[in-house]
Amino acid sequence: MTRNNDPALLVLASLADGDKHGYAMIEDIERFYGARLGPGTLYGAITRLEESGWIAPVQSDDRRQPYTLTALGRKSLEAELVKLNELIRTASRRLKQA
Amino acid sequence: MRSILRYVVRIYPRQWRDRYQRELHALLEDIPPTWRTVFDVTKGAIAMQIHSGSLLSIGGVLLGVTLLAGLLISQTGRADYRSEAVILPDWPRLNAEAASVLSRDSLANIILHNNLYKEDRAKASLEDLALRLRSSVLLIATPAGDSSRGPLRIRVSDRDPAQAQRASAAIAQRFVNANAASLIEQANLPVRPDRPPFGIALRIALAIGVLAGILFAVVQAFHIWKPVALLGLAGAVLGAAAASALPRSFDGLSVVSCRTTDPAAVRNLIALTTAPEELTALVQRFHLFPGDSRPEQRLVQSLNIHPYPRPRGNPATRTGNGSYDITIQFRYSDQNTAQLVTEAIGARLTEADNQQRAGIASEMVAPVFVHAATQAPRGSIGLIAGLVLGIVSGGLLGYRRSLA
Repeated sequence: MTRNNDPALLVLASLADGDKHGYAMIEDIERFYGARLGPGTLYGAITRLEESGWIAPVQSDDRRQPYTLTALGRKSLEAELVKLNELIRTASRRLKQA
Repeated sequence: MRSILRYVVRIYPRQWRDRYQRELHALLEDIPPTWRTVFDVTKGAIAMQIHSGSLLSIGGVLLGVTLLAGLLISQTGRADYRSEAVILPDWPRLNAEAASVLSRDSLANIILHNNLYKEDRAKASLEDLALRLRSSVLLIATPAGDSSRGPLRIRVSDRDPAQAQRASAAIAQRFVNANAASLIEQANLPVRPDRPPFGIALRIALAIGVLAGILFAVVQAFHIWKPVALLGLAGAVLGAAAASALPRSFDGLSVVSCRTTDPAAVRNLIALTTAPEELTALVQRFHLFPGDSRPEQRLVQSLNIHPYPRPRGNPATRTGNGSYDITIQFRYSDQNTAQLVTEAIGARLTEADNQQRAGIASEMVAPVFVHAATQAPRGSIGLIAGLVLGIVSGGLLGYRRSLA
């Protein structure tokens, strides 16, 4: 469902170590991936992920809304990472052989 | 910049904003506002409109409707049949005869002899029908090496193909009878009407559909249906009313050619024709400017008689170098009066008595044309202008309210 450069995958990866609100996700993604998502792009990804049931809003009194990874989202992220790992292994092996 | 971002957020679909607007605003307060952010939020809003299907459905329906309208217009809209006769003119003679062949009397005669506008003759005067026929005639010169020596196409457009053929044939025959031309091709009987091409109609419809889709998407996004609809309607009504209430005016135009090289003689002829007693006679004869305390002065203001030198001579009058054309332009609120006064002034300029006193010969070389003056607002222009102004002001008002 996601592509490796998909903002949705970056959001899932960001939420993998704990709940975060939008601004925290942008900062976190910039730290571990080097790309800064715009607010429109981030909320496009959040909308799709929430519709798929992969993330859910967390009850909060803060004006900033935190999100959490659901069990379904965690399984999907794991499946996506397996595919990515396979892709990385295959590409690396072929590069060495060439 | 932050205020721009707040406006842009409103482009998101309503349902989406109900759920996410508060937290998106909170995020936008945390990050520095830049043009890149504005672009990113705009892109996200458009993507969400497409994702929710509202923009697509509105655009799709409008596109379908306008394409259908374009198809209908191109296939069933008013279409005239064009018939053409081709003559080879004796150009100097044709120029001299054109005024007479295309005069109202001549065209009225053609209408009667060829039984044209049979149904309309009960409703409109013969003079009006002659004017209608004149406006449907187009003389198209075809250059053949020497630009003035080619054949001339006489094209008549009409809803009835047989009527178009009879009219173009009759006008061509008049030129032939006056020894002004020989007939090259008989007037054809048009088989197909001259409709706007299907491709052009479709392209126009496509452009209108896309623009209307964008307009409606914006209107829907900002929920400004009511002010846009109400002010658009009010603007259309007011625009149409204003256009119909404003006085219209018509220009009568004609040309008189003088056989002289002496500009003073031409000026003398014009002065004789526009002498105060002549103007008074015109005012009384045509009851010009009723209710005005100084009608003669108004007549002078509305009348423009101007001589133009023709250094190469005038082929219509077979004069050598240095002849003069005098253009007569008279603007008036009534179409027929505009024409009659222009005609009367032209006749006065060419009267033997005046010519004798001015010492030069002159004759009318162009029939009187009458057209609506440029400043006259047409009903449809007023309606469209009012509609556009109403929609724009309704959009702005609704937008301001939606922000408040």
